[in-house]
Formats: sequence, structure tokens, C-alpha cells
Amino acid sequence: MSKTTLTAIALAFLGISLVFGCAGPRLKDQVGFGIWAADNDLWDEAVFRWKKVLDQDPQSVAAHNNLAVAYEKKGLWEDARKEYEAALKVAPDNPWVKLNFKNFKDNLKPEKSDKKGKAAQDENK
Amino acid sequence: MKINSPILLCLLAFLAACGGGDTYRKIRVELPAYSPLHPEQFEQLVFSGFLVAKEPDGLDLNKEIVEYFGPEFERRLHFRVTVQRVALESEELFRKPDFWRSLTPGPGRVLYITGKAELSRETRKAILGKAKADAEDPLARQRGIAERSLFSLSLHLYLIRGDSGEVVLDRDFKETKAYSNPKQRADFAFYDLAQRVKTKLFRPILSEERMQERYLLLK
Repeated sequence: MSKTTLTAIALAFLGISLVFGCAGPRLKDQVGFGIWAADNDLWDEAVFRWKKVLDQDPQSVAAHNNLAVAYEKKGLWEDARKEYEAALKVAPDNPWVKLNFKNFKDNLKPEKSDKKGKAAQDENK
Repeated sequence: MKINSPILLCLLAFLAACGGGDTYRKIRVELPAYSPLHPEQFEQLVFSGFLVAKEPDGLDLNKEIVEYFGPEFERRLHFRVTVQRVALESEELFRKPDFWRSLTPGPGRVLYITGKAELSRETRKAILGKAKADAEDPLARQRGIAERSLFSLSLHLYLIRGDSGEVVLDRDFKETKAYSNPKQRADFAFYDLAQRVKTKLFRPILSEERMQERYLLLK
């Protein structure tokens, strides 16, 4: 096979790959747009985007996880829990979802009192 | 390898298709604290007294608690604060809904605050830095030791609904502070320690936000 033919095949492959990569019914775009919205403190917009992803792909771990974070931000604890559980059902070993869920549960616990005291930090220095 | 190598192009195409890069984004976001209490459901807060396990001489812990926390509840949650001392015989009473229901005269939106309190004081010897050697002074070795007052406030708070007698908030606080003044006044120490309790108590009640880390997934 000549070099020109190989190059042509490679370019065709590149074109096809890009078409399929970018298409992916724009779900990645929606996830990314949601993240952009969250970065800009537009959490309602982010929720809207991630819900849209779930409409098309109910198994999207990213959308479930990110929605859970958004619900936490809005103080909707039960909704957040449901989304984390849904994400873990799809991807039980995803470390980031597991970590988020752990932090979420820690946030629900009462703040620990300072059992040891802070004597050493006070005037005893 | 030349830049236009077909193999390199294929590799680039494969990477483009896969998307490459990270799969997550770490963010720091202010999240509200979880509150089991809905302050808007109540209009009156009744201090019904605390079981006092221990208090320094000359200090009425019940009175100090009401005087310190009463105005805080009024200011922060806009509750009408009243005092209705109840004979508390044991801690079991806090978990008896019938008892608290019977205290509530009508369908008022009343919240009772009660619990167990203890303010203890002890004197400790503290070792200060280096003891200066002074051959002239027979008490030189004692220069490195000083007395400290150590105060500990234990407060187990219960917030109880008047209409159902249900405990809506049950928190245990223990705060300790040492003072270089061995004759530190107990009421001043209470004020210092109650301030710490206040911060920890109101943060969840008011769902105050705290900076936390979360991970957003990119795909």
C-alpha cells in the first residue's frame, strides 16, 4: 500500500472519528455546558442541562453525579441522595461518585464537638 | 517520525474520537449545612430549664444559659423567647413526648429548649518554657511552673416540638478553655465557651453555608 493511500485512509478515519466523536447526540456538550453553568454559579441552568442529558441517557453517571452536587447546593438533600444512589447503581466503583457521596453523608451528620478541648490553643501557649 | 506520518494521523484520530483528557473536575463550592429543624414552623421558644450536673459556686448556669442564648434565638430566628421552668427529674424526660405535649396549652407553634449542662473548673499546673537557673534564688526551679484555670462546658441540648413532643434537635457540645489567670471568673469563662457552642449550634440551624469539595464528572 502506498504512502498516499495510507494517508488518505488516515484522513478518512480522522474525519469519521470526528463526526462520531462530536455527534454523540451532543450529550457531552450538555454535561460540559452544565459544568460551565455551575462554574458561573448558575446552578438552575446546570440542573436543566444535566436533566436534559438524563432524558436522553438515563444511565449517564456524569449527569446523575453532577445533578446530585447541584441538589446539594440547593439544599435538596433527598433529591441529592437519590441521584448519588442512581450514579452508584450504574457505576458502583466510580471513585469520584463514591467520594462525593461520602462527603454528602458527612455533611448530614451533626458537627462534631471538640471533645478534646482547645486548651492548648488558648492562653496556655 | 515525520509529522505527516499516517500512523500519527491515525493515532490523533483515535484520540479525537475518544475525547482524551480528564474525566472529572474538582470544585470548591459553598454548600448549606443540613438542618433537621425548620425554624419557620415555630414562633415561640421556651427555655424549660436544664439539668445541671455541676456548676461553680456563685454561678447560676440555668440563668446564664437563658441570658446568653435567649437573645441569640430572638435575633437570629425571630422567636419570641420565654422561660417556663419545669421540674426535670432525669434525662429520660427529654424523650417523653407526652410530657412535652402536656406542657403545651394550645396548638401554638412552640419549641422547647432543654437539656443537661455542666460547667466545671479545675486548676492545673503548667510548665512554662525554660526554668532559669539562679543559684541565688532557692525557689528558682518553681519559676517554670504556673497555675492555670481550666474551664469545661458540657451542654447537651434538646429542642422539642410542643405540639408532638418530638425531639427535633439533639446536640452534645463540650468546650474547654484554659486561662493564665488562676482566679478567672466563671461567668467570663462561660461567656467564652458559650460563644463556641453558639457557632456550632446555629450553623446547622440556619443552614449556614460551608466551603466543601465535590467532583463533577465531565463524561
